[in-house]
Amino acid sequence: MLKYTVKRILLLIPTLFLVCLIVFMLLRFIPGDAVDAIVTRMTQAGQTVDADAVRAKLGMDKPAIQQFFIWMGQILRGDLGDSFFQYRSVQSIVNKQIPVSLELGIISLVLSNVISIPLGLYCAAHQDSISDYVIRVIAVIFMSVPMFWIATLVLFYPAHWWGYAPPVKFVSFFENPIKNMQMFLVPGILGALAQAGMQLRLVRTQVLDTLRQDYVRTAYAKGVKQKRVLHHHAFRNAMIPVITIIGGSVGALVGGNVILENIFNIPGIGSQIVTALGQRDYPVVEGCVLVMSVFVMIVNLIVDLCYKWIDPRVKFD
Amino acid sequence: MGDEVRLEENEARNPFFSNMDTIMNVEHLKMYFPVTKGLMKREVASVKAVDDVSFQIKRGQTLGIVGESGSGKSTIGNCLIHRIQPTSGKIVFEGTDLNDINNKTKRLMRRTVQMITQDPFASLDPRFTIEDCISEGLKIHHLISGKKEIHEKVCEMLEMVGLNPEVASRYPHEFSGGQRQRISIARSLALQPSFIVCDEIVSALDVSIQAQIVMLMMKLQRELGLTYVFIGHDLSVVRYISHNVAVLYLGKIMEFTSSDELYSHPLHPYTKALISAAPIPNPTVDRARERILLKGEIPSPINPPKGCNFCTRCPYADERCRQEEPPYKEVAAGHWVACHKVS
Amino acid sequence: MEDTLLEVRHLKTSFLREDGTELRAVDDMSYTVHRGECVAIIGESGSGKSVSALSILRLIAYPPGLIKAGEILFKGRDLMKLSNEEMEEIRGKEISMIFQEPSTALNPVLTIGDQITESILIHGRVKDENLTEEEKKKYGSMNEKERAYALAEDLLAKVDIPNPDVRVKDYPFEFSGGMQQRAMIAMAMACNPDLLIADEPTTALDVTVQAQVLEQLNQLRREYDTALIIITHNLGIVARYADTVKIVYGGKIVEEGDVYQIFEHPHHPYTIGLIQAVPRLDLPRDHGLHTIPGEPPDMSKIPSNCCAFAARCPYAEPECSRKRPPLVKVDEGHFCACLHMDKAQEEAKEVLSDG
Repeated sequence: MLKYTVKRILLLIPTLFLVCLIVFMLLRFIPGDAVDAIVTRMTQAGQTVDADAVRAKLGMDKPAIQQFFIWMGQILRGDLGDSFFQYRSVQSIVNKQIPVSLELGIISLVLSNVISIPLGLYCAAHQDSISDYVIRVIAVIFMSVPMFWIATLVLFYPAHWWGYAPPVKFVSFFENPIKNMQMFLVPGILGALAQAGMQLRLVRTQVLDTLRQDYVRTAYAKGVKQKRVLHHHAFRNAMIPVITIIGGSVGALVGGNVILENIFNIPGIGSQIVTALGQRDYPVVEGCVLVMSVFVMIVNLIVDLCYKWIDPRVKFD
Repeated sequence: MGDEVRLEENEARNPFFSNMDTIMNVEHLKMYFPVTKGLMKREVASVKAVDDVSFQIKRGQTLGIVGESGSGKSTIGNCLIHRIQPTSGKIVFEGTDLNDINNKTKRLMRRTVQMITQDPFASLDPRFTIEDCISEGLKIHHLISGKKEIHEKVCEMLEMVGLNPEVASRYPHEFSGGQRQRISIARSLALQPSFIVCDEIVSALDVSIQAQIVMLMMKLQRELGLTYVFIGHDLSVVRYISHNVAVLYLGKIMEFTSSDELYSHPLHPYTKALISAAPIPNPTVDRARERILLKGEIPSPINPPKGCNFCTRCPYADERCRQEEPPYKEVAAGHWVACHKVS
Repeated sequence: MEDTLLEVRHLKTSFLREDGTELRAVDDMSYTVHRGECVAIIGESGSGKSVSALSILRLIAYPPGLIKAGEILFKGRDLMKLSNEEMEEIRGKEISMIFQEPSTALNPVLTIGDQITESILIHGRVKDENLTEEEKKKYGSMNEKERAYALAEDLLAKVDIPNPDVRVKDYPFEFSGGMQQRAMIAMAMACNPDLLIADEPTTALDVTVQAQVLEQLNQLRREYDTALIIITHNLGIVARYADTVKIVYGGKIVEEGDVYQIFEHPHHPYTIGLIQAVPRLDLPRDHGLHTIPGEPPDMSKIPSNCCAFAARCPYAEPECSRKRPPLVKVDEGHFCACLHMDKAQEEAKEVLSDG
């Protein structure tokens, strides 16, 4: 187990190198670069600028390969570089924005599991009852209705009826939890809905499937009560495939939900990356993607380790 | 027209065609499967599935191979039909060494040597009709052409295995296990084989159906002069259909003898235990028998014990058995045993 | 022996198919099991033999299964009338069960110890009042969970699992097939049940392992004085261990009697055919095998009021398809349901005398 964990962590290094390389290359393939953007902007502001000077200042006059290795060198020294536009370091952007996205993601993650797992179990235990049907229909609605549409409704109607609008200024949870939750709870729920709907259906079918297994019959034959059969025997086995899905969703949730961040005006990393992409702010895009990749990979590692904990048959080797 | 002519031509071209008494001779057959580890597929051990096995099969007879799981009985079957290439050893079929056959004889062998398995339909296209299943081989081997002729041949085959020819247009899933097994027998027979390997063909069937299939196979052998290798784990069924029986344990033959001799004079302790473990369906007879209960379970073929393979479970094993592998020797005419305790 | 433990009366269990037809898996079965007795139920696949056993424990899942009628009198109480809670008290404590495929019948994510101790703890097997004097001495100082694990280790030792103190922490996949089934036996015997139902307990095992496991099961059963219902299609196992035998065909009992009566004086054409269809090791190779023609019936297509075997029976006459033959006493404790058993018997005598 320890050996496996160490091995996986060591494997992070080549993977991250590849991520850097790909992000770096893809960015250079996009037509237009930061220099154009800066020159355009400054010309509009009525200033005359020398494009080559800007280029040299940003270090973009060197060949791409050299730029790549300069950047890699910076990263190895723990320096993510500076933004082209924002007069601050990428590190400070990451420090400020990642926790915001992370909070939104964690809220969505927790909520989607808190909603889907108990309800999925409930539906499986009451298969084909009216409540089972109702819950499943709602789950399908959550999965199929576009989130931005619900988000717009959720913003519009309270404002229309009661003149209420969620706060727009970000406050950290530790500073003022109530204000913070006012901002995050609604988008957090919205972010969870589609995932919860999908997961609920998966949990339900998986539990139903395990309930048909021989070992469940064995448990009943031992005199185990239905509730215990469900929680102790069926649930853990049913969760094995569900963990895979949860693991896959974590990346997406933590990676920042651009749509929600935009609609609710949350200064998360998702919207930051989109803005930076538009401006061709290479260091910001590269830095943010890199940090997010590390997060996603660590989460994947944790998910893989969870497999062993939930399914003893899994062997790491 | 032309069917019979072509068949005769095929027969004449058959290099295997001869009248030797021994149809197949197997010498020192070994089949080791490598166990690999890591990214580089480094070979760390090998599964000795079949480890130095020799026997002969007489034309028109049945050789029974009986063994428990992991004994390598199915691997032997796959080597005999040339589906897998053995690690070493020689298989001579109708005078031809299978180690050096060319493509043409290989093709001929694919026709004359057939294999029937436990559930052959598990791997078949469920959208094939029974006629498609049976005629597929006929077409591949160009035995018969013409729609009508093929249909007639299929009907003939179905009748031969005791099925109504009307079933030809139906699908495999409509049949019970016993009927499917009859269909797969018909499919093999359509190619006019001389040698059939039957791998656990009755294991999944109900008792009354088991007997039907065994009787059918015996009838076909008498009528068509077929040679069988009958692989199974149920000693009483294997012995009933076979002329000679090879008792396999961990990839080695422990005892080889005629079917009648097997019950009346078993020599190897494992054979004795196997016979004792198979209860006789008569309470008076069975309850009067001596019980030999083996300890433990079959060791892994990756790590077979030193000396005699059976020494870990043998009630008579001594130091010699744990050190020295017993030779496989003929103790009476046609009765071979590998045991230090048998002289 | 005459102490009645279980009495099944007119049990009818059906499965409702999606097309609305009803499959009568168990069609009016009645039988009695005495204390300490070994009863074998013989039948081919789909004959309803397993369903009849699952019905005793009320383990038939509804839908599609449904116990339609019948009484199951266990120690005088009708199990059909008990509440679910009362039934849970009986399962695993007074009646326990062993299944066919040990690899799927054990929960893969729980240790062997967890699974054995579960029934011990549920039924309070190691509570002070349920311990024998000997056990009190041994386990007295431990708490309940420790006692349960200690008992689980003792049970594993009893079924010859080496190093039980280590193996108790193993997961099922770390056990071989034979050891899994022995662990199942240990689990089933944990609460000293009065009745053990074994559904094809050794079909999935190798021949020599099968012999070990059955011998173990039989010894434990003797030691604990547990009655055993063994469901199988293997006539050899029945001949070796059973006291009485029920032959089941098409959801009905067609013949019952003690093991010697059934094997040596079978009356029903199906029983006769079945016994002759099994190759015997002790007879010369060409002792002649007889086959029963045809296939087992499709249970949803045979009506209740006929002899299910009529379609395959060499002695069948038109009346066999119109009337369900009653179980008729042919000898002390020996019953047979056939309208033409005299004819069948005549021929059977000739064939069986050969053996």
